[in-house]
Amino acid sequence: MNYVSAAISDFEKGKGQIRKLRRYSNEIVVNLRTLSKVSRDTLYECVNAVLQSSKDKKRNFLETVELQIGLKNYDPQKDKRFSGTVKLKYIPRPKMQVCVLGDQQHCDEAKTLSVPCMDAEALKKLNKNKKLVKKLAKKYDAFLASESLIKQIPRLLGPGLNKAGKFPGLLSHQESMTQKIDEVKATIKFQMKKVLCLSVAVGHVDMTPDELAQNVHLSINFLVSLLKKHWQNVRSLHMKSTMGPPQRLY
Amino acid sequence: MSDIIENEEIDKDTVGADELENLFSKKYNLLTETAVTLKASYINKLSLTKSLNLAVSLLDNSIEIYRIEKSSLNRVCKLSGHKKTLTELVFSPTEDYLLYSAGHDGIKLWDTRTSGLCVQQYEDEEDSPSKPYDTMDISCTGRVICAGSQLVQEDAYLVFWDQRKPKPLGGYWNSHTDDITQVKFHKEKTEILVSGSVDGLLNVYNIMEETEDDALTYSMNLENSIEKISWLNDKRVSCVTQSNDLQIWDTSSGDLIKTYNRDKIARSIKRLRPDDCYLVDTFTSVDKMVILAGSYGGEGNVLRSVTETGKKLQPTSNFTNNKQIVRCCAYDEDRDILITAGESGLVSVWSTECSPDDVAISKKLNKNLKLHDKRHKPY
Repeated sequence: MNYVSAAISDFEKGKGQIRKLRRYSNEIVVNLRTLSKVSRDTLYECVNAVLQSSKDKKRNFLETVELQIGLKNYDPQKDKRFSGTVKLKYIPRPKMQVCVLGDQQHCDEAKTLSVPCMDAEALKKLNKNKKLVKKLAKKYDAFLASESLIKQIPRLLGPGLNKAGKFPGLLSHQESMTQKIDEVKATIKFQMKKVLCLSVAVGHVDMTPDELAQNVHLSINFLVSLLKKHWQNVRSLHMKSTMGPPQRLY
Repeated sequence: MSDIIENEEIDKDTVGADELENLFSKKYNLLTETAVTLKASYINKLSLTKSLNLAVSLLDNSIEIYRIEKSSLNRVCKLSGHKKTLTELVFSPTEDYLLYSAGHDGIKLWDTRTSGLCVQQYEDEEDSPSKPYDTMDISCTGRVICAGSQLVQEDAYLVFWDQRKPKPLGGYWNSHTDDITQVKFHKEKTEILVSGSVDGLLNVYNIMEETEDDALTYSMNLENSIEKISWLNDKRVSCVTQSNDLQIWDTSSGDLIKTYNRDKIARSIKRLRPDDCYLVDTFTSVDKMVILAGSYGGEGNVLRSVTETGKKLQPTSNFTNNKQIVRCCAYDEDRDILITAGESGLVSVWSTECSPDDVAISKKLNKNLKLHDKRHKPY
């Protein structure tokens, strides 16, 4: 009988142990679900290091800060290509020049805001001349066009803006012009080429640490959402200024 | 600001099993399924004829041809010859035994009757090596071929051929600034062509015009790289972007009709995590647009379709027997048959008719009944 009761008590103990283990394992699962990949501290260390190195050695231009991403478990030959655009909170390239190709109303608005603009008549004067269109494309970093005008662009200018990679985005009358221009300036594009790494401009060295950190935070989260296996596709994350040394985030 | 964390939440349905069953009310059965090779292989592209000839691309750059007969997939032949990455397959719209293929080593024409001979290779201009083509299409009359290339130095090319001649007719190289991922001819008008690219532009051309400048009718800025284009009717095209959004454009007016972003599509297929949602393609069924989408989450076997009804996306079908992440599909509207293929190298044929198992079971049942009748006869 003793053996039996001892066995039973052992069994009960075992059950308790299992229950305990189960509870622990649940906690582990919960912790795994919110696994920190880049801690707040690491992020700020890197941001400050990037900003400090550019202060130590001032350059004659505004250095851009870029995020460099190394990928893994990804085969460009067979896996789907990915790309995507995201609007950052703070404008990474403030010096970007945007020109409005507008109808009457948009041109009037642009003039009062002292935004460079052109109307259909001005575009017609270029007469589909390749050199003139090229010159126009070179002068600005990006274009926005009113709805009525955007459809006429191939007719008015030929493929010149396409060739320059600067075909305008749509500017509607429902949205504010300044907001839309800021949106264009704040939007960045992630795009993978044939190699397993990509980089994207996320800020500049005159930003405050908070501004830069927030842009980096947003960019990383967006990039991970684009990847099929999310963090399992990320090999490394670095940030660096144009002339400064890279800082490892992940 | 918080740490950057990994969200390990597992993708799941947002409604219960019963509701799922009710919502996705159009039932497709897995009619037949086959694995293309014993080795692990992706199927990235397929092409289907009206007569149900099927071509699928393999990772070793070979092509397999099947015929769908009654409820089985019969392998016809294997076409080998591409030395570099194979990127597109298109059956001739007029001769269902002729198959065109595009790859990084050029365009080839195959005759599937002669157990898989390459009958024609289309060349680039003299003395230049073949461009790396990512896509191609053929006009509805079967006469003009157009292929879109990756960026070569500074230019991305659209090259045209007369189907009968290996020398190219000409090309465009000013309208895109990055890899051209899709070209699609209009289904009825031979002169209308659309092209999509990584640069985010969807261009419409009238190829009867003399020069590229005049041919370019509309440029539509999706502001997002284009992955797939499908004609929905004689005016509208749907574009799947590389960030899994869907945009519908009118090619006759240059207007954006509608955008369905990834969040919206994930919600419509009743899945929790938009980050795991992927878009396969769209097709037209009974004059309505059907979107085929799935989830990378879990086993990657969730595949569902929704139909655009008015301004809403109506849940339509849940492909419960799907086993893989689907990369491409083809739909035969007359027979209501859907073919899917994907990352486990499986070709699946879906039909609204009963599956062979059901037929077999009902046959068995009938047999039993007969036996029963006979037994009763003597009495």
